[in-house]
Amino acid sequence: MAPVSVRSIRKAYGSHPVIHGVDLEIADGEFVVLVGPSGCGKSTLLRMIAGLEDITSGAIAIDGRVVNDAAPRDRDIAMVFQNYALYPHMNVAQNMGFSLKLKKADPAAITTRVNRAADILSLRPLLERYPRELSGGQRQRVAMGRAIVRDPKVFLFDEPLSNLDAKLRVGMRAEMKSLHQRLKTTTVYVTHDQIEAMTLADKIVVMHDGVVQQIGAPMELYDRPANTFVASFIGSPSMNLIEGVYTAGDGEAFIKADDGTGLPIAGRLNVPAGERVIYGIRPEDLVAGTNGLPAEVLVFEPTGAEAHVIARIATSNVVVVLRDRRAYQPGETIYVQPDLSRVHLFSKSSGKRIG
Amino acid sequence: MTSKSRSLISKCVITAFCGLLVLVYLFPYTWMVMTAFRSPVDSFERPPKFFFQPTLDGVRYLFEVVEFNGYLISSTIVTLVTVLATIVIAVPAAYAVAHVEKNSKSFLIFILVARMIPGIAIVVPVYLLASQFRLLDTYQVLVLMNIAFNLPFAIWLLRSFFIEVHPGLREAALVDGCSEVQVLTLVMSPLVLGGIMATAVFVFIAVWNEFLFALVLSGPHTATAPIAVLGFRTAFGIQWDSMSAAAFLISAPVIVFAFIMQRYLVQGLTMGSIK
Repeated sequence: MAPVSVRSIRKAYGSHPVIHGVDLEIADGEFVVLVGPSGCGKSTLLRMIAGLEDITSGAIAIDGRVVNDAAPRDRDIAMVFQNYALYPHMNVAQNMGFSLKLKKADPAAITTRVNRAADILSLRPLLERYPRELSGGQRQRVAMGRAIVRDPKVFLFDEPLSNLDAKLRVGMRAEMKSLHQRLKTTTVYVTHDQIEAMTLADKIVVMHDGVVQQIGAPMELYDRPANTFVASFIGSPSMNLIEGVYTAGDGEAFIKADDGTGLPIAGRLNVPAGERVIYGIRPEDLVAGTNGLPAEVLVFEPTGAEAHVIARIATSNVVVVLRDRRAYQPGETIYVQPDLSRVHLFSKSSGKRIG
Repeated sequence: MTSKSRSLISKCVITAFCGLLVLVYLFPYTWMVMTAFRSPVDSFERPPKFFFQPTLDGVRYLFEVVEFNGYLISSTIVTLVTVLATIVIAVPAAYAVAHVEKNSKSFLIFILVARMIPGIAIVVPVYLLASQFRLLDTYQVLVLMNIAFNLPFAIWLLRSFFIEVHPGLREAALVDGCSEVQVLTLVMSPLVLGGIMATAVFVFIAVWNEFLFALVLSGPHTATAPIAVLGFRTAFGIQWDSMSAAAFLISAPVIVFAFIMQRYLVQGLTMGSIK
């Protein structure tokens, strides 16, 4: 276990910059998830922590020691790869014990530690099998086993669940969380799946185009996204964003959508009237009732516990999550009332949160 | 004509064609083997004799008079040392160009140049150099030239095997605590063992059959087996039986080796074509 410190990290491939200065402090035992769309630089950042990519500038420290020039093997880290990268010519036990063998550990100690890790991950019956004889989920477990056998300072996970089917992924996700609660090893986890990020992380780092957009606890990001990118990326279905103009006269302040619809807000904003803003409201914070904003139903999607209604408010399509078990017809008009305490407002020009 | 009978005819044509091909390829070799064990008198019979009293006179002459075993020993030394050295150099080089160094294209083209120049174009300068360094009629110069000519091919062939190994395995091994040398020896090499074998077989065949450099650079102490064959053309005629026996003995190890390694050879030739 060890803290990890990432200071002003930049990465460029030739003249093409991919990471533009990332600062990140990871506390001892913390589970940090780097999340963002493909190509945002999250995997590159993880690989730089692992020592598999050169650092263009900045510093990475593990347990207080700057490791910029240290080889991966000198960093005391363990990594789980997206494709598992199990050695095809070694059986499960050999795969798991490989790193200890390299350290010239006592064979009896290797067996003990492999068995202990195998017990944690229910791999005991598979120890003699080769990777080609395992299912995707079992391979994933072996890859995790290989990491935990080493008892490293830091675990690095590079989209470890993305090759599994949906059901297995949910199961493994819970297993990873309980594993972390048990081992309490500092973990950096990369994913593009915001649900994985929300469920696993102590701290989420949202990245986009090589820049950190926001760092915070999952619910902090959900409740107070710093900008429109985080607002739309975190949460599923994602937040509704409607453009409008901040209107504040003598009476109540509101956001006037482009077709003239008034979108209510809780108080006054700290921006001049007439400023273009983006009005954000999460689908579950729109409450259907007999009064409120008129919305024309476009598509009705029942998902079981709840239903997603795609409707038009002002000139924007929005999603409303309803739990009233009623089927809505396309063309029907419903009335939705935004929960004013949960309205998010962003500047149109900068995309940043203003209220 | 029904489609069934049409396919039968086409099968017959293909089989006949294949049979003809086999005949074209195998007949000269078979004839050579027959000549090796036939007395010179039988060899010149018209029409040719396919059934005859076999004799070992040609083989006996080869070992008792020509001392063919000396040539075979030279060939064995040159071939084994060359194959071993080529593999020892080519394996790490191929691993490096396939996995470690991303900008290896110019290096790969550069080493190919050595292969593009025909041996005959450089044999005179090489002879002069070898003579200057007093290396004529030594194993060193033969081994050196054979390595130089086979190394580019070996690196190229091995590279195609290494590239088939997922780069993630190298990264996993590096994180697990391997040095690059350990990645190569403990993780990569076992996975491309077939490719290494195939490359070794190709180099073996090329060096064992090598003629030009052996002709120019070897001498009485180091002449290889293919050179011995030349000696049967004398002012008094050609000793067909001994020459054929020598050719048979030279080709036998290659054929046996190729037969044993058949699986790897096919793998080497079809590398990358099937997934």
